[in-house]
Amino acid sequence: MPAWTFWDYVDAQGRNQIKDWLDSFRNKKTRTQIRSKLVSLFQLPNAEGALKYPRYEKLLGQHSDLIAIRWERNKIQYRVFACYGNEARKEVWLLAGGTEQNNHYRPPGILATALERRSDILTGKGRVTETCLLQSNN
Amino acid sequence: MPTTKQQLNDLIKDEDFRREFVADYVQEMLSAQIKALREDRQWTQQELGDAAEGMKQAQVSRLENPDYSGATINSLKRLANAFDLGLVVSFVRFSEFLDRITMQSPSQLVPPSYGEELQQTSFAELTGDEIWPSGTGVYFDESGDNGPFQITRAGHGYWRQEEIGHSNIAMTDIPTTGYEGVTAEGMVTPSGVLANAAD
Repeated sequence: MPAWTFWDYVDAQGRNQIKDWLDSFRNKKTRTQIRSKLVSLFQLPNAEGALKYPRYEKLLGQHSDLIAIRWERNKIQYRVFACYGNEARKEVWLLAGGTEQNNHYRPPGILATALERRSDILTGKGRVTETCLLQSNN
Repeated sequence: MPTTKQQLNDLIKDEDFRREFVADYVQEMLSAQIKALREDRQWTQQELGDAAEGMKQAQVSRLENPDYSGATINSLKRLANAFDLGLVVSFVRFSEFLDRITMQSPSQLVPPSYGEELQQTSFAELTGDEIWPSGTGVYFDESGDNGPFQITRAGHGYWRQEEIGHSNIAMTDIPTTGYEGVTAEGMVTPSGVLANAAD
């Protein structure tokens, strides 16, 4: 079974929304920390058919199509919401990034946004591209 | 299209990234591996603690937490004994570090204990390389839409399957336990036919 591959959501205007989220952090050190954490997670070998590491949490209820990738750094709770993509190719689509504080997400409505983006990909309004996180020129 | 190793090689040119990445990867991998090994043995955290020379359950829990960065060499040695595994802690060149990371396979996350390894080795000695011939080939699964892959022998009991021309991570090990033999098309495995598996 192939290991998972990670892809970024690109909207109808051609904007890579994961790259835009990463670039929204003005501090280069913060961007480096986010990239390092996600890239290190991408490199973990996958022993079973699903993303089982503690960093990944499959959401329930109306958000059950989503997976949350969670970590904390400098007292900031980072969140990236993703979903499984093409199963044969073991794809994980990264849909939206944000932070969480006291059960409130920033940006607000990020879960609904992630679901909309998933729907966009499935209906052809959006697409995915190889993740910018592994590309040094970003 | 660059390979994952080439991409990582570019990323680590940035010193800040390099430092973060070593710390992050070691911490994530360590916690993931301890948890995976414990679950493979079907142990509770308490049972693993008992096997690790009386380590407390809370300490096992901390070591499985990817946010915990306080693991000591001593606690890792005790866990290695409990799992009946070797432990490698060494400083390496970055090129070697990246080699190890990008060549990680599922079978390496949960390696066999010394006893299991002995059994596998004995079996390999009895059966020889006919069971696990070396070489490369192109593999297509039953649906035909999941390939081609480069196939190499990954070690006792596994084929390594790596998607050709894919810059992202697409590598896995196929257990050969379901090996069924050789046909005109090639090696028959549980999930498809491994064609052209010539030495």
